[in-house]
Amino acid sequence: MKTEELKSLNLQDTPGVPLLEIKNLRAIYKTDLETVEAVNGISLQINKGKTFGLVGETGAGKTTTALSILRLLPSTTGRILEGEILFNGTNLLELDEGVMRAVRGGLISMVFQDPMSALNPVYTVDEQIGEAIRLHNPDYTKEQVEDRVDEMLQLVGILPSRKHDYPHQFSGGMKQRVVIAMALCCEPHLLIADEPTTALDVTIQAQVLAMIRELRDRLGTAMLMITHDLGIVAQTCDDVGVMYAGEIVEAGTAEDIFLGKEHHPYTVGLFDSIPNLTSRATRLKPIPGLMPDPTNLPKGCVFAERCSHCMEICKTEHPKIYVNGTHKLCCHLFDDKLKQN
Amino acid sequence: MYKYILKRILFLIPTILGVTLIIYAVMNITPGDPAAQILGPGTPEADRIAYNEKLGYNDPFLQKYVRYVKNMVVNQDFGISYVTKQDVFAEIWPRYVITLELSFLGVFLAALIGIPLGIKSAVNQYTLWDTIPSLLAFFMAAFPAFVLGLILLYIFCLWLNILPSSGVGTFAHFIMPALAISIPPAAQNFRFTKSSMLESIRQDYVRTARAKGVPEKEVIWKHVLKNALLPVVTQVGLSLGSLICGAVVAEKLFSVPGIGSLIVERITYKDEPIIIAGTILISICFTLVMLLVDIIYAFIDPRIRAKYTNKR
Amino acid sequence: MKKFLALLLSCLMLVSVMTACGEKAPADGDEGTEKVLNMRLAKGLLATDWAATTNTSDMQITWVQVFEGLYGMDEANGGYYELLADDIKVSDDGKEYTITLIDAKFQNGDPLKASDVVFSYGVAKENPRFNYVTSFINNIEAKDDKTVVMTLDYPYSAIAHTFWSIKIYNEKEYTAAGDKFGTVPHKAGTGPYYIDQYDVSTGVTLKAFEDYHGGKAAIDTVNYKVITENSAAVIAFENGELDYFTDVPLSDWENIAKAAGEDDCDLAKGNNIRFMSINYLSDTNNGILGNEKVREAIFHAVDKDAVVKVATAGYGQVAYEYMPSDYVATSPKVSEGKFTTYDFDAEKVKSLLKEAGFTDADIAAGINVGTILTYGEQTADKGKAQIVIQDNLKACGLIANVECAEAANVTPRMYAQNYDIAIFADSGNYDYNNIRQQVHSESTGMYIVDFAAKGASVEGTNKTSPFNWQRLEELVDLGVATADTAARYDIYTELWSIVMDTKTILPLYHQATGIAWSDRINVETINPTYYHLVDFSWAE
Repeated sequence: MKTEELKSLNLQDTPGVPLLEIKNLRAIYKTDLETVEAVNGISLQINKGKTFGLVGETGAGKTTTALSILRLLPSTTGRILEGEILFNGTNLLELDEGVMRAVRGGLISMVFQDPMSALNPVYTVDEQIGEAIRLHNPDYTKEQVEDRVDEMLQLVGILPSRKHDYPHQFSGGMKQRVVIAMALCCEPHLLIADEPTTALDVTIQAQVLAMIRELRDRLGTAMLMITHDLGIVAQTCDDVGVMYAGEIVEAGTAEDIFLGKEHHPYTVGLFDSIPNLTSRATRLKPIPGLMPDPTNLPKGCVFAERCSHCMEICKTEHPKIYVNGTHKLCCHLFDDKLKQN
Repeated sequence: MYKYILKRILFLIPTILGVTLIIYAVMNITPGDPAAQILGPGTPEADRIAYNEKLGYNDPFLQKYVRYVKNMVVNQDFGISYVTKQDVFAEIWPRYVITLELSFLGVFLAALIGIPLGIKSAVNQYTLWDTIPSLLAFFMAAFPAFVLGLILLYIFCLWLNILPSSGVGTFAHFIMPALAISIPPAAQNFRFTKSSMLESIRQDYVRTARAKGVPEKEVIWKHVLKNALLPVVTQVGLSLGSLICGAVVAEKLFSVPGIGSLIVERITYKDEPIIIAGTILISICFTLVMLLVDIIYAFIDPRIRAKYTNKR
Repeated sequence: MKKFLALLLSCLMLVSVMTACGEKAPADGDEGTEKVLNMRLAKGLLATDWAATTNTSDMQITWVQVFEGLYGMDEANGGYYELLADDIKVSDDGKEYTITLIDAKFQNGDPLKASDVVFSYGVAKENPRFNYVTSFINNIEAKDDKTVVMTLDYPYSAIAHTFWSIKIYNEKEYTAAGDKFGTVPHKAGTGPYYIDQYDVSTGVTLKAFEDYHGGKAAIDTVNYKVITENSAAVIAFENGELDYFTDVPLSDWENIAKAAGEDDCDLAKGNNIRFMSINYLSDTNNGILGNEKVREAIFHAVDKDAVVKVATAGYGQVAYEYMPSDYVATSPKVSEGKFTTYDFDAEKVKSLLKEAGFTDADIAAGINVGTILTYGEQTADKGKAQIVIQDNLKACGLIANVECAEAANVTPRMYAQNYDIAIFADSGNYDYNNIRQQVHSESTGMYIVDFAAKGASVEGTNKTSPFNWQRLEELVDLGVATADTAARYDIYTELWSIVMDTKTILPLYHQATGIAWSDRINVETINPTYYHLVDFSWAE
């Protein structure tokens, strides 16, 4: 289906053309009562084979971004107001729905947060993975589909003999593996993982993460890893974006974020709030305050309320982006550096 | 699985015994007796008592109960009606079949009308496909079957003159009564299906399916429906029970000789053999239907199936 | 999912197959080229034996079309005529009857013999229900094949009613069937139709008896369908599915009359009576109903015209006689003015209440006279009458509650005098002797006003009857002892006058009977209750 169009998307990696580029994306949820400004002008780039980590608190707009890429926002309330999402140069937002369906699962896959409810309880694992395979490879025979299912299950570390079991017969960690198998079975170019291990316990978390990394390396899949856990970011991501109240306040390579000298106050706060195993602190150091109400965002800098470095200008004017090589910062602290550029 | 089914069927036995005992007990407390109704007012007291005596009506109710049960088990005989003196089973069975036909047709129609509309309404929420059926369901759920029946009679019988007004014999005779009793449960099925669908559509696995690239139609029909229909199936099964009783109204209006109207008629006569046999038959039917519902449930939902078959 | 659909579809198939093999009831409409008369049964026919039930609905079939007695009844004009009896001679002392039978055959071909008559009367005597017409029969025997001799304990003037009531069985078939008789179709009667098909739930089919002694009926096949709801019956009639509609619900009379056409319907005065009775022994409000003036006041407060208008939609007629003198020869006629009547008179009510010792203030506040009790639906005529009367009373300062419940609950209370004011109905009286059940203390069942104050309700009290009840009972016995119509008329006039003077029973109205039929048939005579199918013919 639409192979010609698909082929046009399936460009070889041309130097200079990133795999996924988001430009100024704005997305809202609109109900009769209020409008939630979830994503307010973010831009990012993911290159082929690279992993981009999108970090932020709950409610920052990370999931909305991910859903927007696949155009899976709830039809009744979600709207993408402006922006472009370019996949190998083609704007996904302008594609026909039929083509988009081919993209979903075929070129871009997504793994969701809660494995317990992500699988349909009345179909076997075999049927569900098989469905994904068949959708994107309509010419496969039954045996070919079955073989592929077996292959994928082995890849994620599940015995193929279990493929006739139902989701409720698996544990949480194994369910997530199945979901991952489902996502990767058609060898997508980009895998969006929305907090894939948050719902799992710590030991399983480590296993699943290791598996994701391994698969990514083996298949060469690019990944958008959404998480609030900086540890995961450190282990897995090449590039990072820090998101707050629907905006990316700081972005750069992993080195920039972890080892760089300049940081957005929010990023500093994030790092500070990580409990330290070695120190003998009796209290945690959270960032005081809460994220602003997305239906009523403040003028000026969105972080102003909670920022310890807040200045007068922060309350009235939205900061411009200061670029330092691969490191981007959106904060009035660097205004003087802006003039230099 | 078969062990489970067998166990459920065996439960019928205490059910029947219990039902019979309760009816005898209740008949014992309530006023009236066969002679009063059959012989009419103006019969001397002594004659009335003698008449009842001959029927075996005056015996203590526990004795009647034991006798009846023994008769049922040993001779497969349900006794003789106090009123018509005819064999109870012969009198009841054809009427039972007719009521079953009517009720099943009613359930079927109710499902046929209610469920698809419910699905459509959930999928196209807030559009006309939603508002109009919802409004209709709102009214129809409250509509008494009797009034509906009269309206149908008026339209199809008097005005259009295409359907017979009463009795049984051909399929045409069943249409109006079945419609009359099926519309209120259809409205219920509609609302139930709609809310079940709406709930299922919001589940995470639906999002997963969409993320896989499953076309929307298939998402609804394959992924949502199977999950949404589980509670609906139970509802439909339960509605059969209320339909068998509700069919009485349609039976009276359309003169369909069903078992519900038979039991109601004979209550004033205190015709215990008929009332008990009729109630037993209805209980059996209801129990079997609920069992069927449970089996279908297990069919659809593997989690329930696991429970019944004691698998993991 | 596929498996689920498959299961669903197979259930579907099962249901359709089941309904397709539905019951084949007696077909309505025409079977092939034969024309069938369509009749309605309001309730299933409970038995094919005439002696098994006394529902009017059942009697219309078994007492008139299928079985016959020595006498037939001319309902329309009152009186009886010889049917199976060719000639009846009475002895001088009035105790011996010699009955010669006509030549007739039973539906199964056997000739009518005197032994059959003797047998049938024997069976009837055993049946407590017919006690009231057989208790005085001392002996009955067959003198020869065509003659029966019956001896009574005492002369009984209403013997004609007995001759009509007791129907003649074919002894052979009756005894052969044993306990089963009455549960299946049979040919044990002599009437113009025999029962061909019988199902309690769906109905009955009658077929004309070829060798009927009065000549084979014009209409060959008659099919009765059970239609329990009146509204459904009305629709069936208007739809052409019903040929003869007895007892049309009067609320639909206009529509039915229009549908049938002027010539094919009739609104006859019914042979029935609704009356109001006051329990003078009631303890309510310090036994206020024991006060004669209060009772008379209540009578004068009732506006019978209003009651008729509301309860019968104007189709009924105000009543003064217990049995309509049109139908019962010995019923005292109101036109002769020989007994007291009570008409609506608001002024009289007030003056009577004052005489009874109540002041204007009492009247203005409202005097409690207890509860008006009746049975049936609140929306049926008695229920409506009850409400109107409550209203009438209120307008004159008398306060009453109303209570309406099922007959099975209410009638025993009435017979036990456990009420204040009651509205009751009686019907089907063809001989004035039947008043015995109302006024004789030894009657069973309908003694609603305890004239003799001997009932259970006065046990333990020292209440006595202020009435000349002994004379009442004397008159009842006198009325039965003579056969002279004129003498009986005078006796019953005195009786009824005494009853009226007790101010305990007030006749209210006669309900009308509506009858309609389709233009497929011609109906010669209109009988309010017992139509004779043998008199019907197809309209060509």
